[in-house]
Amino acid sequence: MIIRKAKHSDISFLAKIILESESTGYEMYTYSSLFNKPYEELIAIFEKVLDNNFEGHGLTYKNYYVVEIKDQLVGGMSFYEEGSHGDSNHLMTGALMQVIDRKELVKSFAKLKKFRDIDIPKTPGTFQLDSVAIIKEYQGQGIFQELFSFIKKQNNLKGKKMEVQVWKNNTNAIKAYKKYGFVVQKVLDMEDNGRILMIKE
Amino acid sequence: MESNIQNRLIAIFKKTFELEELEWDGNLIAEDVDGWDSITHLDLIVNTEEEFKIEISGFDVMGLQNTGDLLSLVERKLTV
Repeated sequence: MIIRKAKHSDISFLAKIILESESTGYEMYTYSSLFNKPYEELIAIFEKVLDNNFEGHGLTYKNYYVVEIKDQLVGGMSFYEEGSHGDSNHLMTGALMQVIDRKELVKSFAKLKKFRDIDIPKTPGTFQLDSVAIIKEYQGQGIFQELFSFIKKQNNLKGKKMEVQVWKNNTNAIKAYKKYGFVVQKVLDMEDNGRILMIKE
Repeated sequence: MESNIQNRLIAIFKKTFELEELEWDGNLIAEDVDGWDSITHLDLIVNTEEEFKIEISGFDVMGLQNTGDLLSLVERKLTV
């Protein structure tokens, strides 16, 4: 097993990671429903979106780590320090603006406005885990554990907290993060789901 | 000229984030301004483009860290 920082040539796989990671969340809040496009088209869009060198957010290949087994990419996640290069959400908005037609993006973002009550701001100075996914055939084999310990060793986390946001209905993820020392810090409920902020000191 | 651009930007901020007052400071970041989140950030950029009749690219947006950066970007775009 090889764990390493993502390279430009991994972009196509990272696009898949983004879409895979959101499939365990909340259908109304996914890029698929936001942009109302078929999977293949979304992959092509995110290949372009991820192709930027601005660090400090989850929509650049530069902030991803990947796991490779027998020359095959099997998992990955983004990891970055919030605020290190500006507000990560604003950076991600910029990355989307670079690729997606302005009017279409405004229309798509308007759909998000109804979810503002469950928006949890990321804390500047904390490390953010985002878009975490291991492909199906390799789940349950401790790959995330290896990836997570590699990332912890690679980054200077001394005195810094880590944050991850998950959907309330995604009990598997909540259970897994608890296993790795994350605790629930905030819960924002909505009718049939909710947003949870978990932190690790 | 410069203060005029700044005043127009302040008006855009107040309109976008529905603020009655905004004490402008070039170092303001999202957490300093009520309502400045990822969704309204796009509205802010679109409103700025419309007000100044300029085009702001995604990469321009990614280079912005605070209000002062946005002011400088607008000034640059207007002088080109």
